[in-house]
Parts: sequence; structure tokens; C-alpha cells
Amino acid sequence: MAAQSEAVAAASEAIAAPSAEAALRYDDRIDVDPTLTAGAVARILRRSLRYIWPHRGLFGLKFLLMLGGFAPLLVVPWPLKILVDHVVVERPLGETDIRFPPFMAPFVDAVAGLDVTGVLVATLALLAALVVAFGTGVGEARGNTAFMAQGQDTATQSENMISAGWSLAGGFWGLADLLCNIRLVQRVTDSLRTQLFDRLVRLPMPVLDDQRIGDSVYRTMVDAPAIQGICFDLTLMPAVSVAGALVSVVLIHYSFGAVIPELMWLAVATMPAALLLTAPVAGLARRASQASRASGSATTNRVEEDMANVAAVQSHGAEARAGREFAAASTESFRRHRHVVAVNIAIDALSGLALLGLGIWAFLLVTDRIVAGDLLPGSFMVVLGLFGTVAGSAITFGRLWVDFQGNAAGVRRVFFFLDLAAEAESTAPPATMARQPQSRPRVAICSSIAEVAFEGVGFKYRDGREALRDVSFRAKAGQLIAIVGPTGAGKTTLAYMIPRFLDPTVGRVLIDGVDARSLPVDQLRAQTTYIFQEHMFFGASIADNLRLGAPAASDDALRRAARAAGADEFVQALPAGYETVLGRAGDTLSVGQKQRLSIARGLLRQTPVLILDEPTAALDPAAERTLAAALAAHKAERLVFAIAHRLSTVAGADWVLFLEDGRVAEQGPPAELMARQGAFQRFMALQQG
Amino acid sequence: MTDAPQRDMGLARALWRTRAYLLPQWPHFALFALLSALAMALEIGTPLLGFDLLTNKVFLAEPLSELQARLLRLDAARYVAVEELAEDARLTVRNLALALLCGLFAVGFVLGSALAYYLTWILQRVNQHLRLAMMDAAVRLSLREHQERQVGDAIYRVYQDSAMVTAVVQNALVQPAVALATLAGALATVALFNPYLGLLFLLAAAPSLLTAWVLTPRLRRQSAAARGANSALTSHIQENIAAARLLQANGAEAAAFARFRSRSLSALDRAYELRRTVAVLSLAVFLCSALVAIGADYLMVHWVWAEAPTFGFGFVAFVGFAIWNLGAFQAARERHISVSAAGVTLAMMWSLLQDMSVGLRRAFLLLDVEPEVADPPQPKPMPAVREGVAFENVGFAYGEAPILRGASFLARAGTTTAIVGASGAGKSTLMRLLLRLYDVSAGAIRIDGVDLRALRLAELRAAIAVVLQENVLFPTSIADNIRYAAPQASDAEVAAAARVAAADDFIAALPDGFATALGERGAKLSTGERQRISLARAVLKNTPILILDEPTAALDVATEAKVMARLAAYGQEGTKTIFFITHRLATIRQADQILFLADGAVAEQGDHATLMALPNGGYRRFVAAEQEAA
Repeated sequence: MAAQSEAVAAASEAIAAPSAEAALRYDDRIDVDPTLTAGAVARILRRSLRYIWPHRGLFGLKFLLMLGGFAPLLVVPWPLKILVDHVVVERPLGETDIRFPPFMAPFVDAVAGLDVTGVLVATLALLAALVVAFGTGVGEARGNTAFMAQGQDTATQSENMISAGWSLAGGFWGLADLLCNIRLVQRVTDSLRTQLFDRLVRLPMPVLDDQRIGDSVYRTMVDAPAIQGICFDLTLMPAVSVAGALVSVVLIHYSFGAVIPELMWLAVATMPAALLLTAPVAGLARRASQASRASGSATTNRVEEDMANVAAVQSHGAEARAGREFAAASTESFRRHRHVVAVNIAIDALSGLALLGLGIWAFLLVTDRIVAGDLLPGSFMVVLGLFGTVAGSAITFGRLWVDFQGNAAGVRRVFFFLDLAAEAESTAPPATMARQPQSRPRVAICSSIAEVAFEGVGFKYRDGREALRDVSFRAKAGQLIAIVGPTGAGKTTLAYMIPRFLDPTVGRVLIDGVDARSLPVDQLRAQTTYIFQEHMFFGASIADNLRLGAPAASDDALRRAARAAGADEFVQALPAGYETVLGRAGDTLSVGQKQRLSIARGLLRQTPVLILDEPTAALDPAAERTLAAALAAHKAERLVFAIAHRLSTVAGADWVLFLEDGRVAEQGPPAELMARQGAFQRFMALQQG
Repeated sequence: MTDAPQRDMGLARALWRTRAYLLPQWPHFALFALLSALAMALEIGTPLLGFDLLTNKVFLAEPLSELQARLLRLDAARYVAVEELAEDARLTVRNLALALLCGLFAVGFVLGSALAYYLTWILQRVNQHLRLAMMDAAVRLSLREHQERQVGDAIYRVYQDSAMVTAVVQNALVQPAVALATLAGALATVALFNPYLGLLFLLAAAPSLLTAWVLTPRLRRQSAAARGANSALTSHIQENIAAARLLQANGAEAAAFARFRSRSLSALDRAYELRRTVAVLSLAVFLCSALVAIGADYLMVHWVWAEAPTFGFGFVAFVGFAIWNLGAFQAARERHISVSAAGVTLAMMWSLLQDMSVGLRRAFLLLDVEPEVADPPQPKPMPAVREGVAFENVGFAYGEAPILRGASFLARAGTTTAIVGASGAGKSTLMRLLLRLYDVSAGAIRIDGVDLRALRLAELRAAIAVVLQENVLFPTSIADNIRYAAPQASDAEVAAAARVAAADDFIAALPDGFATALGERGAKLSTGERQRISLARAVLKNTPILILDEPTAALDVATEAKVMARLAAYGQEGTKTIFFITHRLATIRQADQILFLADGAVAEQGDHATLMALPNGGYRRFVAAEQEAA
């Protein structure tokens, strides 16, 4: 029951005391401790793997296609050996030095009777068929990718990551493998990033206040794609690499076991050697990746803030300064990405070194036997091919844990917010989200809210500031409650508690006699409308903006709400009327006009509880009168709260809560309070100046 | 502002535009090219040498050439003038060959790693320059242009699209150069064995080019669609996160989620389609060259059987391929694979070029927008504001809708002017014109007789301090927010400014005082508190002109009176020209001059008493309504 307030409190605490050093390094307010331990990495892995399950069909298909991709690696060395030993050097096919593997037997039998030209043509035909189906299997041209152009830091490379595709095979098989791969990666990433987006817009209010928008954008667009690396690199890659390496080892043993028994053990040794040499660098790779991502996120923050507040930037002549700050952030993010590049080069060098040693040993063994006459020159091609497959698998295997570190850093940044939001939600799973089958809340709101009561409510920030103390009152449907008081008295904090944007730290908020904390948040908010002091609009038509909370509202209802808010007239005067698309954050309208649209949007929802936060601050008297009349009509069957200064609004109220320093100094009907000649009367007298 | 007029900007032009960002780095590029050439020579030379030594000498026991023996310091009698190499001689050659190859490999590896890091460094420098230019252009664009674009779009352009400039270097210059050089090297090597082989590979290029030509328009279309979809997705995230509170209050989270989901899927589909086309093109090119290589195998086997002389035997004698033998066969075969690889690389690069040109177009678009508000070629010095600010018949239209018509007035230096009128009457626009956030459509604004448009923009804005109606605070400390327009101000000056704005009391009550960090958009403070911080910021800037747009709307009357009294004292001290936009009668009454706006024109002007004396005047009606409401 206290989980949400704990989450909120924990967030407030994080806000109040971010580790100074962490905040400096990562430009982050909420997610201030991004260090990862090896244990945490293992947990991230387990959790990431769960995202594969919904896409298991595609995953299975990719697995089969990948396995098939090994075919050319295993088969191509044999026709090449035939070409060298039995065609170019013209040894008869019967006089072979090593055993052909069983899958080559049908071909060898079929061409055994042909003359050397016949063997040449048949072998080239086999090669051509293999190339069309699977690619060449060896050399630089093997495999298939579709990476698009990318930049030089983590952010610009993420777009390739989210649609990454890769296939060991070329040819048509490789094409199918590649396309399947891209789809799989996209689906898995999409699951994660849509979930993240959903959680971000549901973050508790105090957390939202501190979450930087650029950071959210970065986490959704750049960090989320890291999950594909985890799911893919640590499942398919090792499985298929090990399978391919095993088959190669078996083949080496089958064909060369009699001549060079040690060769198999050399092949087996490559994998542990690569792992042992690269494992110690894993921590370095992880830290480099974390730093790169954090600084990229900081750069995004700079762009976002300057773009969103460009009017302020220009009015204060701060253009050059904005440029300088962006330059610093961008330089830093580039520098940290270069560290990632350097670490990668070091890892390549280390694993290359391990394999080079083993490769030289194998080379000496094989060439010894060739010089001694036990092996034909073409067998060198076979060993080269098979050993290459094993070595390739070993390099992949050695890089897995290291590559995983970087991706773990990205995915951790995503999981952080999933957890933060999940914690806050745990008392009341959102009712509209059918895909989250959690336990139902104890109480459901069945009818419309008829009463809101505060019982000894207090709110304290973790930094010790007390925003509210011992607030008690009772409000019923049909009433207009005015919340009045000087700036900073706690009016908004009080109003935030009704739709549970905040939970009290002391006392209870009762909705129809039931503690608000035991009600499902979604149902509670479906019955309340909060009109904020700041005006937020989307880049969509005015009609769509108004319908935000009531998508099904008719055009008639829309017009009525707009008229009540005094917005209909100026909207009609616009060339495109209600279809006018609002620019960035509705910038083409004056503040007063935006305020009226905000109010219209709230009225349109027709909820039992309506809360207006300083609705008339930017309105002229005429507009305010219209609104007051509309509110009076509106309150008939509803409960309306208005935070207000103006007498015209206050005088029409049924009940006044006069706040001072977080306490209810006086409450009662306005006429009574005025007659009392107390703090409220003095405050209102000042207003009339 | 749309991308439409830029559609015809071709690939070549987009690439040409990048020169300004590439040329300054030319010494680095030159050094990089030099080192790359060295690496490539190693890459071609190593296997040529290796295949001959290993296959012909070690495996088939053929004698070394004299040159080889001399270079390897081997006894000519045992290694050159023999019919067949002895077994121990073959092992010696093998060991020497291995040592040589390992040495060359090590040099190649170190060189390759260094080159990879070096290239990253060069490209980041290039990208940084473009990013900065874009960011600079973006923050300087006039508000009119900003109103028509979304924040997320700018983020996407500055980030993703600008990164394409480095992709140009990598994919339009470096990689194609490497691929072409590899191709040329391989073809030359092959042609030295037999010119017809070289010709055969050139023939394979024809169907490859045809496929590329057919698929190119599709590549461009799909790339533009993919970038557009991702940009829209970025905007969507930005907008929704910024308005998350609103979504929660309206229970619209599920709807926002559904929209995000469909946009996300659409972005992924576009990316998938683009990559599918790229993959098909590379496959086609690969098949062409790989099948030609297999045909070449057939010819080469016959030449080996015939022990035919190689074409350039004089040259290749050094590596021992005077006639077609097994080593020559394998060396030539190895080069075929290089040719196929280079062909596929070129096809990939071609696809990437299409994508890059689309990205670059989007990046350059931001740079290409002519700022509507710009510095004059020969700016006049900023006057000291001794006489005042004059609006002369100022008109302004937003699109087709006129906002201001024939507004004229004079605000004398050292006086306060209150601007009054109904919502949407054009009050804020009047002040935005003074700041030159827009330029007037008709008439002129003059300071001490000098037209604003003759002044340097930076000097003009440095002479004006503003408190905007929507208080924009940044997520830094309170002190930094107050210092925003005057970064050099001392702590004492910051505290003094906060006192003028009556913000000192509540800041002192915060546990961290002036060092308190603010959340996104200055949340955590009440609206009234934010308003006073904005005010302190304007005061600290200490400019001859001060604009206050509804500075006290969110303040209670007691606080407002305190703010106004302190502000008045501050204004008189420094002979400031102050403009207020406000509804508050208490504030309006104190003004030296009142401008009453109606329908975009200055309907009445004068002091409070004068305007109240006008029978049936608009201002009088406004005051009556305001008094009734207050």
C-alpha cells in the first residue's frame, strides 16, 4: 500500500541529494548510480532473454537458418581439395591421402569414373551450386549484411542496431537468413522500447518533474536497441558457433585423426584460449560503453532543451552560449566513443594473438606431413577451411561476453525506468492495460465520485521541506471549492493529491469514503480532470488536442466545451478553424488563448471531479466572466476545485479553503469568511487594491 | 518550411556540400591515404609471395628463383640450381616463409588497427563541425520557422542526419577508394597472369551495374521514407514525454501508447524495406562476380595443364609465377575472391550513398534556411537609448492572419509603459517585434531614431532584458538560472537581483538556497516562484530596456506589490525604459503611459487619468470589468 509513496519518496530523495560526482559525470537526475557489477549484468541477461519468448517462432527459424549457414563452411573445402589434388595436380581420385567425410561420398562416387576434365566440370558445377545457394563460404566475400551508413558515436549507430542483420552465409540462403534476422531484431527491440515509452509517460509526478526529456528520447531510441545484442549474441551466436565448431572438430578428427591426431586438440583449444585472453577486458569494455552512452544522453539533453526553449534562448541573447555548451557536450561524447573504439581494437588484438599461436602450430603440423609426403597439397586447403571455421567461432565466442557488456550498459538504462515505474504502479495496476495481468486492486470505483475528503493530510519532501500540514475538509458533488492563498502556500500540492499525482505522507485522502491509495489509479483519473497552469499541446489539430481525454466526443460537444471556455470565437476566426494544426507547443497562439483551449479540453471530458489550477491568471475580465458562468453551470452535478485569486471566482464558490504556509488557515463559505475579518478577508482586500 | 524545395538536390550536390567540412582536415586525410596505400600493398603482396613459396616450393618442391634465394639469404646451389628441393630445404623455406608472413601480418595488423582509430578520430572532428553549425543555425532561426517544426525533428537532424557527413567520408570516399584500389590491384594482378581473365571480370561488371541502376530510385525512396519515419518517431517521443503530466491527467496514456506503437512499427517496416533492397542488390552483384570466378577456374586449370606461360612472366618472376602452376592457380583464385568482395563492397557503398544523400539533404536543409531575421551588411552601433523606443505604423501578419495594424507610439527613455488589452489583441507580439524575434511586415521600430533592422541582432538583444510570460527555467541551479543572460555576474549581484524580484525570501528558505537544482522545466517550484526567478534573471542582465510580459500574473497581491515597488525603484535608479504587459490595475495605474490595444491597433494611449476621462473608452470599460472581477 505504501509502495507508491515509497517510490515517490525514493525519487524525491534521489532528487534532493544526487551524488554530486555522479550528476556531474552523467548529467542525470534520477538514474544517478549507473555502475554495473558482474552480478547485475547476469541479472540483466536473464531478464533480457524473457523478451525473446514472444518471438520464439521467428527465433527458431533464425536458429535453423543460421545452422544451415555453416553448410558452405563445411562443404566448400572439399571440392577445393578435389580441384587442387585431383584436377590441377591430376592425382587419381582413388589415391586420396585422407578420408572424405560421408556427405562427400555420393559426389566422389559419382565422379570417380570420369576423366580429369569431367571431374573438373563436375567439381566446378558443385561449387557454382554451392555459391548460388550459400555463398563462397571462405574469404572476404563470405556472409551477408545490410548495415546502412552510420556516424561515429553510440547514438548514430543505434539505428543500425535496431535493424541489424547478419548472416554467415551468402547466396539465397544468406538473403533469407539476413531478412529473418532483421525482422527478429526489430521485433525484440520494439517490444522493449514500446514498453519503456509506456512506462515513461506513466512516471509518478515528482519523478517526471526531474526527468530530462532528451534523456528519455535517448533511452527510447538509442539504449533500447541494445537488447537485440543481448538476446542475439548470448543465445543464437554461442549455440550456432559451438555447433559449427563441433562439427568442424569432428570432421578434422574424422579425416586427419589417422595422420595428425593432435590437430583436433589444437582446434578444441582455440575456444578457451580466446575466452581466457579477452575475459579480463570485459569490465573495461562495460565502463567505456556506459560512459559513452551517458555522455550521448547529455548531448541529447542539450539539443532538446535549447530547441524547446528557443524563444528564451534568443530573447536572452544566449545563442552563442547554447552553441558552446552543446559543443562541449558533443566533444565529450565523441571522446568517450573513441575509448570504446580503442577497447575494441585491444580485444581484437588479444583474441587474434591467441588464435595466431594455435594457427602457427597447426600450420607446422600440416606442412610437415605434406613435405613428408603423407598429405597432398589440397589437404592444406581443407585444414585452412575447417580450422578457419573453428577459429571464427572462437573469436565470436571470445567477443560475446565483451560485446555483451556494452549492451548491458544500454539495457540497464532502459530497465531502470521500467522498474521505477513498475514500483509506483504495484499498488494499482492500470486497468486499461489488459496485457498486464496483475492482481486486481481491492476496491473498484463503480459509480461517479460524489465526495472527496481530506483527513489530516500532510506532505513532506525528503529534504525536510513541508509542503502541507494537517489539511482536513470534505467536499461534495455540486460544490465549487475555491483554494486560495499566497504564492507557495501549497495550493497545487493539495490539488495534486486528488487524482493521486502525489500521495500524502501523513493522513488520508478519501474518495467516497475509501482511501484513494486503495483505488486503481486509472479509474480514479478517469473520473477526475486536472487543468494545469502550464499549457501543453501536441503538434496536431486543435480538435484532436481538445479530444485528448475524450476521443469519442462529438463535434457538438467539442463546440460547447470551447464556447464555455471562451475559445470558440477565436478558433472559428482561424483560417482552418478547429482543424488548425498547432505548431511547436502551440506557439502560434497567445498565452490567454492557450489557457482557454486547456480549459476547453478539460471541460470536454465531463468528469465528476474537475480541478482548475489558476484558470484565469492570463484571462481578461470578459473571458473570465464567461468561464465563471460556465463553471457555475458545470458544477450542478459535479465537484469543482479551483485554485484562484480573483474575487469573481472566489465569490461564486460554495466553500473556500484559505491556505497559508501549508496549513488551512481558514475555511468556510466565502461570505462567512469575509465577515470574519480574518486572514482571508485581509488577503482579498489586498487583491482589490 | 518543408523538405519539398530540396527534393531535386542531387546526390552529387549533397556530397559537394560536405567539402566545407572535409577540406579543413585534408592533412589528416592525406596521411590516412598514404598509410592505407601501404596497408593495401602489404595485403596484396603477402599472399602472392606466400602462395608461391608455400604451394610451389614447399608442397611441390620446385626450386626458388635467384631473386628469392638472394632475398631469403639461401644458398643458390641447394635452392636454385636443382631439379627438386630436398626435404630439409623445403622445411627451411617453410620456416622462412612462415616468419616472413607472420612479420608482414603483424605489421599489417598494427597498421590496420591504428588506421581504424585514426579514421574514427578524423571523422568525429568532421561531424563535430557540422553538428555545431547545425545547432548554431537551429538556435538562431526566427521563431516563425521554429513554430513550424517539431523539437524531435531538430534532435533527429542534428544527431542522425548530421552523422551522415562522416558517413560520406567513410562510404563515399574511403571505402569506395579502398574497394576500387583493391579491385584495380586484383585485376592488375590477374591480368599479369592472363589479360583475358581481367577482361572476363570487367564483363561481370555489366549486369551488376544494370541491377544497381534499376534499384537506385527505389533505394532513394525507401531511404527517405525510413528517415522520415524515424524522425517522426523521435518527435512523438519528445512531445509525449514533455506532456506526460497531461496524458496522465486525461487518462490518455493508453492512446499515446497505441500511437507510439504504430509509429514505431512503421519506422521499423521502412527500415526493413530499405535493407531488403540493399541485400538484394549485393546478392545480385555477388552472384555475377562469383559465377564469373568459377568460369575463370575452368580456364585456369587448362592453362596449368598446358603449363602455359603467364602474360607478365617477367614481372611475376620475382614471386615465381613465370608459368601457370598450382601456386599461380591459387594466387589468381585468391584474387578472384578479392574481386567479388570489392564488387559487393561497391554495391553496398552505392546503396549507402543513396541513404546518405537523403540524410545530408535533411541536414543541410537546416543550414540552408535563410534566417528571416538577419544582421544588416553594415550595422549601425547600438544607441544608448536616451530618447526612447518608437513604433511607427507597425504592422505584422502571421501567415494570412493580421495580428497588428498601424501601431504607433513613443516610449520615452526612463518611463514605464503598460500594454493592456484583451487576450489575443497582439500585446506579446508587440514586444516580440521589439526583440526582433520577428521582423515587422509594415512600418518601423526605432530606438533613438535608428531602425532596429539597421542594428546588429546580438547588440540589440544584449540591450533588452525580458521576462517571458511562460517562465522558462533550465534544469540547473537557481543561481545559474538567474545568471542565464549574464554569466559573469557575481554571487552578490545575483542575490541583489533576487531581492529586486522579491525572490530572496523563498530561495533562502530552500535547504540548498541558490544552489538548489531545478527539475525539468523548472518544476518543483510553484508558478509564482518561477516567475520571480525569471524576473531576477532579467534584472541581473541590467539593460537599458526591460520587457515584462505578465510578470505578476501568478503572484498574490501582497507579493505583487512588493515586486512592483522594488522594480520601480530599480527602474528609476538606472533610467530604464520599461514595458509591462498586464491585467493588474495596481500595476497599470503606476505606469507613465498606457497603451490600450484592440484588434491589433493601439486604440487609446495616455496615462490612467487621461484614458479614464475618455467617455465610453475601451480602457474605461476594461477597468470597470477588472474591478468587478478582482
